[in-house]
Amino acid sequence: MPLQKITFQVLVEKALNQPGFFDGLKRNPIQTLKNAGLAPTPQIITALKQLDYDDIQNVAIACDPKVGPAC
Amino acid sequence: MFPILQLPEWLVDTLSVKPDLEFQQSLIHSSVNGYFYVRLIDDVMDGDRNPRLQRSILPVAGFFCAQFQSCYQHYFPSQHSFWRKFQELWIASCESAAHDASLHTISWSDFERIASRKYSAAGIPVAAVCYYYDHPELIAPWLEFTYKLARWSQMLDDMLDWHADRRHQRATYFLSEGERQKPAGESPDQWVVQEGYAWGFELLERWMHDLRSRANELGSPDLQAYLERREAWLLQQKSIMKKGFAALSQLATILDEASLLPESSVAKEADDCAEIAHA
Repeated sequence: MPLQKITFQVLVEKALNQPGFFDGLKRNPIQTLKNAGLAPTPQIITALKQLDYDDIQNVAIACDPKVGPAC
Repeated sequence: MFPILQLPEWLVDTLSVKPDLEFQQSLIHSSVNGYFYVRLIDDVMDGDRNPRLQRSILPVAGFFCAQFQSCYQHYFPSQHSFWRKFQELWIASCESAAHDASLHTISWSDFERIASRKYSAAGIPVAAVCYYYDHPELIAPWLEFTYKLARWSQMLDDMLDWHADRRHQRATYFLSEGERQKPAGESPDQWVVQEGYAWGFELLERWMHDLRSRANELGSPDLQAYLERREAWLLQQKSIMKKGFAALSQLATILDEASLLPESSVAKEADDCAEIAHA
């Protein structure tokens, strides 16, 4: 796998269309970072554990064209 | 969801008349068919579903269009002023949809001229109510409200669908504004997350304030209640976006600090982290 940084654009793409990536960061951050070609340092793992992944998932739901505006 | 079925009913409720339920049911039947027609054409133009399936069902559009129009023939003779309004609104809707699809970037004036006009056909049942109950003086204020609500709905759609629109290279006012506003070197996604969504919600809130004031003048309590629900929902979406985009920005910063190490080093780092991850 080519090792490269995750750009903001790729991150947004993953947030909105690949919920598995965020599930992976939440449940198995080391493997998920490795799969993304990034080194899982203790500082990064600690920082990742403090993130609220539900907040990101809620944006994905809100921006899902298949769901559409409710109300 | 744009209240295409409810608007005529809310208008009737403001009149001192005995509602003709058969007429109103016909309007609903017509509008449902009109909606299917517009939806089908819109989906084919957007090309975001199965193109082969869409082409094969495209002829059905003729059926929906006929059902949409024929309901009115029962109530308005061919020389009635209603038909002039019908033509005007229907053609404006078709022209705007075609024009909108041909644009690669959308300016404010394009948005004003086109976005709200795409919904012009939604004014047809509204005009029908005004003529049927003999209140043609109400056509102008109710159509003006319909356009403003259409503009609000279009902007909301553009904001919530921004990523899908960008992926399918569909021009919207929201994304075009992002291209204009974002600093050089910044991606459109960064603009949306860092400032675009806040800019868009601010605009939607301002427009909602204007809509509520206009609804008040139109004198429909149901319309006002609808707008109240929409406003509450808007604030909820704004809060979801704010929290989610903050978490996403935080994650971007964390991942940006992560090093790209040779794969041989990754295994050792992983061992060091295992204890923390399972804590």
